[in-house]
Amino acid sequence: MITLEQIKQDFQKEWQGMHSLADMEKIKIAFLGKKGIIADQMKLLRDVPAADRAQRGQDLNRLKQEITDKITEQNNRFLEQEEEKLMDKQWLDISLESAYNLAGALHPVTHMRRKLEDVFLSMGFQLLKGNHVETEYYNFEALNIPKDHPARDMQDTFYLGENRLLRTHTSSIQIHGMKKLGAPLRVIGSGKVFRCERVDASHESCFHQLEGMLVDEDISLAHLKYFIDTYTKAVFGSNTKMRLRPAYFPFVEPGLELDLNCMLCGGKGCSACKQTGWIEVMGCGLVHPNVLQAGDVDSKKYSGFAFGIGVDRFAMMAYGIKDIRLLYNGGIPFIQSFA
Amino acid sequence: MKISLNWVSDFITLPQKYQIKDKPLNKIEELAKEIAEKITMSICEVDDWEIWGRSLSYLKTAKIKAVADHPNSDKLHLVTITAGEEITLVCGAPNVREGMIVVYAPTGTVLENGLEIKPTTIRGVESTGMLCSAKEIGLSDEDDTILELPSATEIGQSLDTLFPDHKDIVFDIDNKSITHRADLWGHYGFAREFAILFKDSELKPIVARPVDLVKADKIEKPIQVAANCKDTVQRYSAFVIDNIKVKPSPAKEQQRLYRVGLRAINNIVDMTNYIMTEIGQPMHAFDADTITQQGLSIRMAKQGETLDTLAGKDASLTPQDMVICNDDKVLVVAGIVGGKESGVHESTTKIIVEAATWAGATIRRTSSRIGIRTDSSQRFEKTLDPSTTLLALQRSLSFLEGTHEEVDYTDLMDYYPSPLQEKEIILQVQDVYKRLGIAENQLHINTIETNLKKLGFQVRIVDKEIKLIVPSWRQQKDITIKEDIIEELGRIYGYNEIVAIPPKLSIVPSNMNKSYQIQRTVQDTLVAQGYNELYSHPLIAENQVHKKETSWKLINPVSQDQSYLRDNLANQFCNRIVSLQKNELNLQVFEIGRIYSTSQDGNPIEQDHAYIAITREKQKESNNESFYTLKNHINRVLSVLQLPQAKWERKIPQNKWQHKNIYAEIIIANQKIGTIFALSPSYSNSLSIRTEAYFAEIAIHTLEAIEKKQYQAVEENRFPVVRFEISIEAPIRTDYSVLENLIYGYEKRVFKVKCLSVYSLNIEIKSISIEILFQDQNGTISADDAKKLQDGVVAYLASYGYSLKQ
Repeated sequence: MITLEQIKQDFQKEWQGMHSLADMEKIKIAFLGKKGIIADQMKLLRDVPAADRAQRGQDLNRLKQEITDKITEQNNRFLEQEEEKLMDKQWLDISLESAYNLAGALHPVTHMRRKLEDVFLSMGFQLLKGNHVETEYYNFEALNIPKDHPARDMQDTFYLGENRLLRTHTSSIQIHGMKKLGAPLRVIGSGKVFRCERVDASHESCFHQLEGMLVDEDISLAHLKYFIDTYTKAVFGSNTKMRLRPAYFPFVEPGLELDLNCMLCGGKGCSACKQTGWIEVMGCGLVHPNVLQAGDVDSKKYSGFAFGIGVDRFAMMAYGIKDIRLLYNGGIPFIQSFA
Repeated sequence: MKISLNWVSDFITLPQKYQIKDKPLNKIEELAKEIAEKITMSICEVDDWEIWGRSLSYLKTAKIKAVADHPNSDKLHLVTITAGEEITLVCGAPNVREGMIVVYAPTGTVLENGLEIKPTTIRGVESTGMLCSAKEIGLSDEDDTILELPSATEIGQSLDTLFPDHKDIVFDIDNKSITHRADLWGHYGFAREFAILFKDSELKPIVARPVDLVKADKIEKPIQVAANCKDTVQRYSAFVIDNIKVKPSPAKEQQRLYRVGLRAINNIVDMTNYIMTEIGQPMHAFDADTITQQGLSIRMAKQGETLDTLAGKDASLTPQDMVICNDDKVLVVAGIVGGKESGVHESTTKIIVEAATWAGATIRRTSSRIGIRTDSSQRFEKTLDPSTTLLALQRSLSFLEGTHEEVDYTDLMDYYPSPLQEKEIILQVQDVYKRLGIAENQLHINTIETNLKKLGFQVRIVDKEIKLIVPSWRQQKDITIKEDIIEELGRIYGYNEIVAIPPKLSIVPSNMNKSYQIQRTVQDTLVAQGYNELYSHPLIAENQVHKKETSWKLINPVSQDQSYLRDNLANQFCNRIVSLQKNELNLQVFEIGRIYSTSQDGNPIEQDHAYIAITREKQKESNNESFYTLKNHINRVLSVLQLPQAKWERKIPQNKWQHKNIYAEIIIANQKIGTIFALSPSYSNSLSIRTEAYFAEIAIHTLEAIEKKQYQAVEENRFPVVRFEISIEAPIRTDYSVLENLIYGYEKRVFKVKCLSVYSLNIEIKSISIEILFQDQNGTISADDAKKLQDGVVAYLASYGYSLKQ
């Protein structure tokens, strides 16, 4: 019978000489294996006097556990070292990019258009599509702009013949919307509009507008103001300062124009805002009863408001685009500003 | 249109704060800004303003004591003046002479144009200060000569007393913002508005001379209005003034005309312009002695008649145009412009003065057609208030008194067959509050009544109902319905004062229409895969149109390269790629744009198409990988759209600019939704595209109609899959899909077929490695069966001419 002490010493001796996983494996088998020292000693327990048997058994088990723990611990250390060595052989430059990795980008007008649309869609407005090729009736007469009316000067029109033209505003959507959906309704429509104008840094012959209309019972200017407040803050931030003043459009009465505080000078006055501190951004007002009638809506029962926003202009103001022609001719770096 | 504050002040006493006469320049600048804002916030848009009178405080009157020749110049003189002390300066004006009273501007003077006078040396002689022309001190646009003052003028005095109107603010009003306000095209109209805008200000009447005009019993040369002008001449008033002398208008009137942008010509012409600018009523003056016994007649022109106009161009007339004639000879295009012979000249002594009201639409149509637009026609086309005609005639008398001792008229006639009827508007007080969105305690009924009265309405409020008679100057085309009244009250109340209130509406889900949802998804999925979105202009040149017979042509394009609505996106897209490639050869770009065509019955067809392109620099071992990348990207877009799997079918393109061997149609649910292709070599070369470039076009509108995939869980088959790999030989130009379709069609237990690799064996044959997975729904495939299947597939392919690789 070997004493515990002896086993321990033997173990220590072997352990000092151990330098590798293989060595340790030998020690493991020698001490913990089925035919190992401790197992053997366990078998010899029956030769131990009864009074000491239990104690010896316990001691052997305890020793077995100690050795197991030590081996496990060392095993882990060996594994860690292996792991380290393996990783040391591997390395990657994390700063490189794969080829053609750049994210694409939406066009700035798409960004602005969606921003505006989403505000109104979140408030239950329906989005309508409209034709670019319109009839004179839907573009003018139905909107209370008869032939030979001076208001026709306000919009230079591209004509296609046979009473057809390229729509000069998205307002024709109001008529189609009312006729199709009836009152009450709330709709928006956005897209391209056309003006027969010389093209320069701030004018294009084709640009984008967003139209909105809400018709219900007892709609007032106070309601219109609420929506204006909501969308201007959503697009330009909660500190946006605005002002409303009288304006003339044949399709609304009262007619108003919305100015926003000039973003470039903060309202002090600069060349962009012609020293006034304000930039004109939108026409709006209460829908003229003649327009409601043209949409087959009873103007005695219903009233509504309507507005038209120049989306390109908004985008130019919000994103610092200085020349409107960039919207059609901008290069990749320009578009990538909006990635 | 320009409005002078001084001129408006003829008719209204502004509160002390806004009177500018004795205020320093910086204060006037402040006031100008304030007044401009007040006008903009309640009436109409002020674009800009000019401050006059900068030079005033510096200028002095002086007398020329001597004029001598300049030693070093023929054209210049040495002029000695006295303004208390004697000063010699250099002057280049031709009209300087001894004894002349002139305006002297010492050094340090800031002229009207902002220029400061500094001491200079002109051709070797020192000159301190200068003598002024009328233009330099803001009197008129005469700047070739030195201004001469009357000989009795005291010398050495400041110009305040001589030119009391000198300090002025002239506001530039945006014409578009007064399109509907015929009454604001004259200073008196603004005076009326100012009476409401400025508290404690009082409006004065227009005409000083209280003479009631008396119609003549017998008129020497009566004016006739033809039957075909019955509906286009609303009123025609005229009288004759004899014993007049044509000469320059008084200085004050000249200055006023100059300041609002008009040229002073002579007292008669100036009279018509002045009164038009003052009360908004255009006028005309004929030389009465050139009118024959027949007198004037108003009729529609005859086809082919022409007139050599004062506007410097010929007008060719039609029976839609109104003219004023004498002896059947056209003298004037009514309301627009006179002929060269219709006006007055230096020796005129007797005039016929006209003030009329014409139908606005007729004037506008004619003006537009003959291409002549004047200050008169601009006003007439808005349809004016007929009651101002007689007022204008009265005013002309007082105007002429500025250059004549006594003025009298004869032969007053007034053609006014259908006098304007009173226009009544009735509305409820509640309408005002409801439409403006304010409460009764924010705008009291008494205030409503006061404001309407100040605007010129006759008001009666009984039992919360407002009955109004519209003033004549707002009646025609301006205030016609109760909404117009609400606007009047709203703008005076101030739109900024209205508090925002959310309306109470029913909750309904918002509906973004399907085609637009699809568009957004296409945009987002492409952007996520690295594409940049482009926009291009919908108008193209004629040679960019694909099918002229069904395209839309503009009647009035701005330029020839934007004269058609595009019926394809291809041309512009390719051009854009060429220009983008100047800076970057590797591109991934797309556009969703509309194309336009006509249907059989001439109706517009508008469709939104997506155009997508990848370009890649040609690599040495290029195997056209970018084509497959593009295909992959499109498949992902279709997948995100939840559309069924697309089939890619080879076709021969109809267009010569597309590559005949690199062209396929994209088919979903048996419908062609788009194409993918390369450009033909000649087209590529013509554009100088030197990279690989692959394109796809997808008709977005076709996607709407295709039903989305319905998600259904696929039960995993618990029976194992048998994997089989073969290499098949095929002619070089065989689409893999041919083999795949055959294999799938062979047996129902063919579960999946996949192409592993392709390589050429020689110029004619290639080898395609294919992986086939067999699976049985009902049981494991035995080894025997597996062998049978494999041999079967091989034999099947062989029967079509595709044998195993040797």
